[in-house]
Amino acid sequence: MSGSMVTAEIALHWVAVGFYALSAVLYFVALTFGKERLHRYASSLTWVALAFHTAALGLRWAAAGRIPSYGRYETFSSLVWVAVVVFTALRLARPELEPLGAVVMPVSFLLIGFAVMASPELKSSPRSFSTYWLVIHVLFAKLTFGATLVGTGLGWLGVSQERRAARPIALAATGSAWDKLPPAPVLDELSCRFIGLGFLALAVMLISGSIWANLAWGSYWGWEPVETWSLIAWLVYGIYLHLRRSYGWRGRRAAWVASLGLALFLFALWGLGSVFDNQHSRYFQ
Amino acid sequence: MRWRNPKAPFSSVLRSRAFVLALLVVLAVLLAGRSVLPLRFWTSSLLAVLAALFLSLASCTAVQFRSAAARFASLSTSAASLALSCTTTLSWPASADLAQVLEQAAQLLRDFGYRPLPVPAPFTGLRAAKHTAGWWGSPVFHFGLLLLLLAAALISLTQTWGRTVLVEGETFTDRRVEYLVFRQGPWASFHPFRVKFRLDRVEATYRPDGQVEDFASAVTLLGQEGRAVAATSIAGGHPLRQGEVTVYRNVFGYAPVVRFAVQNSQERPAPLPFGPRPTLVVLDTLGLSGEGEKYTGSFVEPTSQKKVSFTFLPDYDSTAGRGMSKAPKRPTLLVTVGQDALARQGVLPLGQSLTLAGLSMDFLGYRRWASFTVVSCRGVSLLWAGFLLSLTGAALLYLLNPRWVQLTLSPEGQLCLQGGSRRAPQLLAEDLSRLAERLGARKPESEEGSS
Repeated sequence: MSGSMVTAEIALHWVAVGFYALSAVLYFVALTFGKERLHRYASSLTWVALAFHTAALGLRWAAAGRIPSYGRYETFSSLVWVAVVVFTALRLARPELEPLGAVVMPVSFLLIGFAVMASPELKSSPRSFSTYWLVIHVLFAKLTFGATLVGTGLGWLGVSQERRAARPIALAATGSAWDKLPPAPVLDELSCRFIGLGFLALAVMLISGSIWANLAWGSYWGWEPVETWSLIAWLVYGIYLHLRRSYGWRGRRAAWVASLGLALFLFALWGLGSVFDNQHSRYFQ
Repeated sequence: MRWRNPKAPFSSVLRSRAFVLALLVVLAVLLAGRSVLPLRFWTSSLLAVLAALFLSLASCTAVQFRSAAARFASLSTSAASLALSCTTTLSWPASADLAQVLEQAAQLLRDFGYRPLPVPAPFTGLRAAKHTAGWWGSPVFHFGLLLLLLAAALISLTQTWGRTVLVEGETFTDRRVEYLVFRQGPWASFHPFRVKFRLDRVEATYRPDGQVEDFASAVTLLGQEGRAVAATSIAGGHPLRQGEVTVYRNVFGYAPVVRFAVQNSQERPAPLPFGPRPTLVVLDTLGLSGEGEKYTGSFVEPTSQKKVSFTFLPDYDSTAGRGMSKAPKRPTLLVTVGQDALARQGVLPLGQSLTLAGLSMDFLGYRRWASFTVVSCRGVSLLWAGFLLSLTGAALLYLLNPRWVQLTLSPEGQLCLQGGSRRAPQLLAEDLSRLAERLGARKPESEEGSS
């Protein structure tokens, strides 16, 4: 039973990858070449991809009997799922932010592609993993990624919008997808809100992880590389918020700091496991 | 150099934006450089930065609390001077009942979640504010961080931390000599005899491929006089708590029981457990994937004074010449007697005998051992308080965007809508535009600007 579920889940994952690829291309073309009507198709494809992806993760969850976040295959697949859900919720609330798909969908496609290239073998986790602290830890890690990816994307869209607004009218194409986007200050403010959400989620992730570590190993903090680099990513987001509040950093400079935070978070999540052997690497590799 | 407050230059520096930012950057860089910097330099630098951060945080938090309290107090007085921007002016026909318009506006603002504020005496209009609890977000968040730093310091100063190893059947009585590794902070007091237990069994479960799924230690709690009090289990996520002492599980391994006999000498009668004490401990090396698990250790046989090294393979495959899984299906010892060029090697399955370099060995059986981490510390409740406060503060900061509005009625029959919000000017603009729309003015004439 579990074997056939896993086979179906792998097939569904690959179908989702295909739709993510198409959606990413359409969003990118729509924004780059100003084909605003392509957004409708890109949006539909995203819904289809998300439906297949949800079904795949649901089957995986049922087959594994635990939250699907163990090993590279599950970790990155569920990360992408949360990021796309955050993006979808945002565009439902504010349809004018549809062009953000040109940032979120290509990154999602690359990461889910990276996930499905890993072994889909169903790994059973230790019994010590069946604690709600782990579920909180994992869910907030994913929310951190979703919020910071969307926040960083909004920041860079704001930068592009600002540059476009500064161009002479003759050079700035009208009637394009860019016209649908809110003005740069609004995008910048929204970016800050999402980075703030990511900062909060990362704090919850670190705290719940340390509580779980204490229950499992008797120590809240073990100076493990993934712990340390996640804390560094959190500090970078703290610096980002202070720079905005105290020094009024906006636009390009703020977007660079947000990108640095996202890069550090992804490095902590995956890059470190490739460099150092650590407690987390067996869950991510 | 110009201080913000020349009378208190020290606190000026502590609260300066540049200083706080520099501390955060230095802290991030220090954390990133942990594996490359010399440990002593890294530790002292980290402590210095954390101490400075603590002072700075304390100073900033005090100012933030004062400022939030002052804002609250000023809002509750009619003489409050509100920072206003985002002006919209609405006008009505001369026949309109403006008092009714104002009442309608007050009701609408209440529907939008605003609460009315007192207005100055000669003022014709109304004032209202929303989500002002959000002002407490930043001070509460930073206060939570302050408690976290304080708790971390208290824990490291008062903690005792030790690791012990017990073979099945052995008893732990919390004496200092029973710890293989022991650390304690400068303010810590050791806790002898607070916890006593006997390790009855180490119970492991295995996956179908023979890898360890989980393990737990069944223990019997003993009273001070050594009598059994209760039976319990120490597992991952389920430590044993006895007062302020907590016992966490660590790892488990095997202690083979081997009988040695030196050839041409009198046979040693009793089985010698190849046991868990420092020179005898069976090291857990967590075998590589596909190789199964190995446990290695070495031992100097007292009669012959020969060094004997063992590798215990729970599931040995003689064809492949290596371990296959962690489940003890074919327990086998790989034995090396002697060192370097004179070393002799052999394979010793359970229940069999082997003679190497004049040393005869019988592999009689094996027992499991488990290691435990015994911790006691003060400051955990402070840590929890810090966690909860920082999360509450962050939630207040993120979810509540304080904003306020002021509606001024002019004798010419115009209603001037103004508002202010540092954190969410967009939300304020939306509120004002909704209010203007719902009031149904004859000619809403909008103009963005600040007054």
